[in-house]
Amino acid sequence: MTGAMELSYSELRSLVTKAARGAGLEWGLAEEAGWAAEWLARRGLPAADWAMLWLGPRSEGQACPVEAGCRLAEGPEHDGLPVGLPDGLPDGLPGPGYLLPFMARVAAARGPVALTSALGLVAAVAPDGQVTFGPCWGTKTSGWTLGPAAGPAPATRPTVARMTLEGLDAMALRTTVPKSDSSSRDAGAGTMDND
Amino acid sequence: MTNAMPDLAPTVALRDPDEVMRLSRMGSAHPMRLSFLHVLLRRIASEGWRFDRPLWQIDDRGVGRAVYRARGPERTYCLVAFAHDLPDEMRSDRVIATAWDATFALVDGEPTVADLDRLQANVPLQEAGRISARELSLSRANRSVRLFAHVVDRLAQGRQPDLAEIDAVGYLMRTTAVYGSGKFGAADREDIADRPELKAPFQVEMLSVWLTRAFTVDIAEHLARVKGGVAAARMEPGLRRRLGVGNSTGLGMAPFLVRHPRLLNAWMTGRETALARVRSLPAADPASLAGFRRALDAAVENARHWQSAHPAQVRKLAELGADLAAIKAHLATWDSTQPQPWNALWRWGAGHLSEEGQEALLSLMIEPQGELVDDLACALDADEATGFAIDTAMALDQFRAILARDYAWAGGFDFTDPAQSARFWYVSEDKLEPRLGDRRAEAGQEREQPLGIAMAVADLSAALSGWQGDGTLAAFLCSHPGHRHTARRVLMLQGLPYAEIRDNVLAAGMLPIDILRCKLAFFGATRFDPRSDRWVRISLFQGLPYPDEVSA
Repeated sequence: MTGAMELSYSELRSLVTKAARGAGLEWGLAEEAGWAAEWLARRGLPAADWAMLWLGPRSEGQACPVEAGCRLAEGPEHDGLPVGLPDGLPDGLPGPGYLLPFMARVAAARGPVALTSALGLVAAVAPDGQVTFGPCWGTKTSGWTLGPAAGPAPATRPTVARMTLEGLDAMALRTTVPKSDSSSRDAGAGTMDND
Repeated sequence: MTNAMPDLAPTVALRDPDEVMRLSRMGSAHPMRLSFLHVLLRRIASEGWRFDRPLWQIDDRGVGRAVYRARGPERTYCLVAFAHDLPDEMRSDRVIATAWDATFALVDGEPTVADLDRLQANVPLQEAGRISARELSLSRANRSVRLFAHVVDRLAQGRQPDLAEIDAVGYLMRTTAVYGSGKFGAADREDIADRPELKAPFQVEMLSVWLTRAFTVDIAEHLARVKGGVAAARMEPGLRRRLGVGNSTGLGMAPFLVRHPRLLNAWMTGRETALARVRSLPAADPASLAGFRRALDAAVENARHWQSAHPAQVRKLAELGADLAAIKAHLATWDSTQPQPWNALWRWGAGHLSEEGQEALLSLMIEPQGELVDDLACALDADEATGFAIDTAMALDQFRAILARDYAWAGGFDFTDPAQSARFWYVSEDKLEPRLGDRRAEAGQEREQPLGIAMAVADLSAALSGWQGDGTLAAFLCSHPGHRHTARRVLMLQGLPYAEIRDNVLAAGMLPIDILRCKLAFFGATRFDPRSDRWVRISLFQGLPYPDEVSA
């Protein structure tokens, strides 16, 4: 496939949920991945491409930004911020865009938050979900820390490159089961409908 | 209708969810005045919607395109219909089909010629095509070959179709899928849900099917004119009314009620509140008494035409027939002047009728009480995003208490008994459709869909019992990510008594058609006719007006 395809938000959410499950996440975390994908897409961010950054490594057992994001947002409060990742964000975490929706959960409860590195701002998220990217944004975490901080693009439905879509579909297909004769028969296959 | 505005706070309690949410009772549900197609038709009538057919480009073979326009007070919607010449050997209602007699899309607004061309390149392909945010639904329909041919032949001869033939089938076409809510590129539900006319559930789908019903008659009359020329007749309005739109549906619909628990709670709460309001009425006024008797007569007539060959449904139909007769007989001695007479009638029914008869009585009692219950239609939807983020700071003791309070019902199943976990729900690789597998005989259970709530709750409870760690939900879930899905569900559904099917959908004896019947009753479907334990045919809009009959 070449080119790109426009998806509805619900299609993207469903696809990323299934792809995350296919990549080995438990259903509850896969749902978080789908939710995060829609959150990103509604802000014009490339949710599908960013998912592909971490889904492959996750299926090989690596840490993923959704698990990290949940822990980050759900840890006990410390100095106004959660510290669910007491050792900070691990380096080399792929697809860090998927941390942003979870930062937004923190920001909604406790005020704006920012990811920074020694070189400056990585990304900041406001309580209303507005995301600001800094010069240190990248495709993997590297010495990033979360702390308190000081406009999103207009929402457009996600356009996904065919290659990305193929990759996500392949992941999602890992949640399905080849048909059996009995399942097809019970579902009515083979019956005539010329009545 | 009651004369004075009633006190809407019921004095009679709503039914216990442990009674209402069992599959056998859900599988006895009947359509009622809060069913979604009735909600749609009442709005259309009260707001004076206007309907016309601005485009009819169908050739002598019955191939081409047409547009049906619905103009509401604020917005216009158009059903774009594509009529095809389908060889009999390609006609299948199953999801395996790749071609249909007719395909449709409901457009948000009025389609341009460019829109029509774009849709023509995609809509006939159904799942293999794409629609856009301009469209609200995608659907298809197949002819009932025998009745369609009979109607065309008779009309072509200048005669009317045979009444018995019409009643034996009940529709000219049946839809086999109606996709909305963002599917295949359509507009997302979230982006249209704030429109008053689309706030109630499935209003897009119901509007699409209702306009499709008009198309099914128009295409038959068109082909009759081609065949019979000026001598051809149009269908007599009384006969036409007897035709609905058929629908063939299967397991694909079943998981919906498990996956949308907040919505299920809203539907059930609306219906149960309506029943409680009627039962709480201090007296029965003459108009509602007359309305009840009319509804009972109509139910008896409907049951007379309601056929099925499925053993479970044959038994239910026998129970229904006997129960409707019993209700009729009881009315002779029922004292409608006693205090809370409807409650007395209900209590009698609970003691004397089968579940099938009780649920039919519910629909009959609500039917004449529009002034009392119709406002509940505004509360049938639900914000399903509420509570998605888990309150993981919650103390585990508090979480355990919520689980024990809301999910005591799940403790009633013994999952050490293989029969209680005999099935597993999965999605088929070839059609991406839900299927039900035999856990011990079929491969694939490692890819099970998370629909077995009772077993998941039992597993969660066991894990909580053995947890010795930190006392917050966060720590538990960090250590047990496999229970995150169930924990979220437990917290999301607090205070929603009708959110869960309080039964075990993995059990060996579970009948998926019970789930289908409940959902289809809320749609307003009639003539529920199971073709197996897993798929059914039903009728929609049968006996109800057509767009040209309600147009202002």
